[in-house]
Amino acid sequence: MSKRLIRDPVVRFLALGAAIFWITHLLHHSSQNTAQRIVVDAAQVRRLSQLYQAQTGAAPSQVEIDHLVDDYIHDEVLYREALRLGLDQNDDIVRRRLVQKIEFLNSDLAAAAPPSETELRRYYSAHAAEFAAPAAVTFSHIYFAPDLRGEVSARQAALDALRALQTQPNPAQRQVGDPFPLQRTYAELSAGEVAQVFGHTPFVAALFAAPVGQWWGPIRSGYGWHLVFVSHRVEQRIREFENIKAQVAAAAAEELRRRADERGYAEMEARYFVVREYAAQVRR
Amino acid sequence: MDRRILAVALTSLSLSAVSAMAAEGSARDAHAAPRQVRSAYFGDLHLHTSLSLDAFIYDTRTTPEEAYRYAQGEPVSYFGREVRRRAPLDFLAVTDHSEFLGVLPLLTRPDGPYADSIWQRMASSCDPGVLRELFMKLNKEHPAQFLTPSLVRSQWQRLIDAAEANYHPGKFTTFVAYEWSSTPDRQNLHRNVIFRGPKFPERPFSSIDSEHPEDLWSYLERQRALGIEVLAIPHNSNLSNGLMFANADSYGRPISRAYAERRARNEREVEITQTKGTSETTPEISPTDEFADFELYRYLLGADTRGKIDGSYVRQGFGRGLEIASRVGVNPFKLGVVGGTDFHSGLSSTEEANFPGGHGRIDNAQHPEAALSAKLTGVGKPLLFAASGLTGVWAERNTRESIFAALMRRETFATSGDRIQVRLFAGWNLPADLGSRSGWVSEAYARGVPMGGDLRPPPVGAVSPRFLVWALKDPDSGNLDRIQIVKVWVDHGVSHEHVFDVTWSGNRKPDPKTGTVPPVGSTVNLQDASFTNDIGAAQLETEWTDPDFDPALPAVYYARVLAIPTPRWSTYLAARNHLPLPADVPATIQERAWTSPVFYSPHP
Repeated sequence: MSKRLIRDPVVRFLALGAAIFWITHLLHHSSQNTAQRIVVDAAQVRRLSQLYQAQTGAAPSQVEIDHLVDDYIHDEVLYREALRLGLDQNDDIVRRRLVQKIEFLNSDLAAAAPPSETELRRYYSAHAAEFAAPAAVTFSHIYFAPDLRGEVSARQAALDALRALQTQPNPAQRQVGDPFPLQRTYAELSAGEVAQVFGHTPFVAALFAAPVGQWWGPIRSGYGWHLVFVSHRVEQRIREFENIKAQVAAAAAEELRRRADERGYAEMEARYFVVREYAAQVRR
Repeated sequence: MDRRILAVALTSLSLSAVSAMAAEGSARDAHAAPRQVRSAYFGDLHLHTSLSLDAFIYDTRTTPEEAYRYAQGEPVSYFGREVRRRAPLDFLAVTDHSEFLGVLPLLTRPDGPYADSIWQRMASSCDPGVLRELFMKLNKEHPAQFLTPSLVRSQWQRLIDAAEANYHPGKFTTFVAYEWSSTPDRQNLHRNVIFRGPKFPERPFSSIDSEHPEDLWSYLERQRALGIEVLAIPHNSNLSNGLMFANADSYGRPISRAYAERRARNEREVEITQTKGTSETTPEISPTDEFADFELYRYLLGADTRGKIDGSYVRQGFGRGLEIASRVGVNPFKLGVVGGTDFHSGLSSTEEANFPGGHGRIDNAQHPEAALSAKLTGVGKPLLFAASGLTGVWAERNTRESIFAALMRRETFATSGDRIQVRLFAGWNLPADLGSRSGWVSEAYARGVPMGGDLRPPPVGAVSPRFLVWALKDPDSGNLDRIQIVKVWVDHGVSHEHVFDVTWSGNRKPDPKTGTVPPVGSTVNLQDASFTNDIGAAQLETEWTDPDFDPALPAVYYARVLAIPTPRWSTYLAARNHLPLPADVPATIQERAWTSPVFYSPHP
């Protein structure tokens, strides 16, 4: 009897249907169950306790832990409901927060590995000029003050004085020109240091182009006209790797970090196809 | 033949600053003089970075380290753009607010101790309203978790570390410093606190500890007892609603001798100019001073209401100090002057043509419409902010000890941002031709007192003090228009002022009645924001005798140097972006320098 029943196609159909119904019901039920589960495990409690301690300076008591867990559950329920309703979408604050998080994550990853000695040397060879000691100049000058002579006459007086100095190379130089309120001689100034004293003026480039060991000019500074006597000039000097290792390491690490940041962003950007629709609107 | 002369002359050269030895001065002359000849160094004693609560809220992310790098002329990234000072500074003090110092950068770290807290959510917000709420909440509630000793100490240590790491004696000087930000009812009583080093306190004393300057002084006095040298520099008297130079202490009691002594001991300088206004004087206080209306900021902090003028400006403070001294015997406002930026960008950027903005997103030059707006923001009205100012010091060397000593003896001057150098000496027997002698600076030190000093009662036979004043233009900026001497004195307990034009460029003739020299003119082209130096002078110098001197009356004398008109930062910004010139501010300004006064007292 039972065997016949089992063989009965109608019964079989019904049984199969019931089984399917039961299984899907089970599946559905269990998935609903997971969605509603909020698990507070030991690790989570530890995290909550640590946060509490960081903010108050004291470890939480058992009563406080219970409160912390209750608060956590309360927030978690609201959080999940908010997600279910899609409240995280189109929210500037959430967006900015996530952007911050991934930026921190990326720069942490980038900062992970300090450059090796080989990498440092390679970086140094490629950037030796940036670590070079700058060119420097030692010079005297004679000042011709537009305040006292006017712009054109000051320049002319400088030209006349230059001619006199060239034909009579050993005069009492101090009788020539006008008093200069700062120094008449400067030692080993870089271009930046010359600009700091005389202004970002044609004076700077001219000083570094002037012939050594003779009076030259006139050239214009932020104060007026000058004749210059360059007694000594050193060109930019490459500094040995060993002497500036720490400096190279700092620059290389910075460079690596920057490159890694850029690479990380480029990889992410490559996953997107950007459509700039506003451009078409603007053109129209 | 030149070699040996050079070698002697070169030994004393300072590379990072302009040495201001007189024309023929050599190292030998300098050392032979009674006092070593001092050079002008330029810097900023007032700057905020992202460690300041408000700066962070304006989206400034610059660190103290970056602030020091920028000041030294290195490029720094600001809102994604590389910015760079054209002329580096010689010194800088990062003065972040001590109240919640460094808390916001800590709050926003996703892996920091405040991860997932309500504080972090607020601090990470991009809604200015939420950020403002956070600012108010912190300042109102003073949450204890952000004021724990370990947190305060660790953030204070950050400032110390940044200053120590960037101090290069002889080349670039940093100061460990902070700002005490007492603001009762929006009335600004702020002081910058500058430590000389090498010893520093464990923690700053903030306005959360007390809003009374008297309590700040107690802290400073405790530090000195521990061997920690320190001074406080008040600023923005213009925003103090009359409190900074009031006749009363912070409890409303009339100023006593004890108060005057303490204030004079703890505060030897005042900041006379900065981005939120110049505090020298106003046209109301000084109706006959035609240059009084300069970069004034008349509103209270972050408000649309104007503050009280009386008691809010330095020139009046000088007079009131003498008035109080005639009553209690001590001048509580015996102050030299310094300039600062007070920028909240981490960038000490006083160059008008190279001004990136000073308050984060609020006046970022990358958004010129916002920067040129006169609308009220949380901090103030962006268009009215000035690209000002700098402190000049006369110091032997570019070191903490030397510059701090200059601050203590008030041998300092302020500028609106240009690197104008100015010397002032006073004495009873300065020779009439002193300024034209070679090596005159050493002689002036030997026979007179420099700015910040005391002019003693006249010797027998002397009728009136003589002054020697000299100024040199910024080689990167406009020529000089004139030098003035401002005299403030007290007669029968009431103070008076007079501004004298003492030397000027060109052949202008002073008005025979008033003595006022006509305007220098202008070479500014507003279309492209350019100017030429076809007018004005590179250098001005003169000797001057006070025509109305009365030896019985206490007085102060300070010099003011004016440059020719040049475009204001807002004019450069408008021209570069093809925007109309903003109407609420002048298109051109006359950059200027103010010296500390020389103080004359009839009593020895």
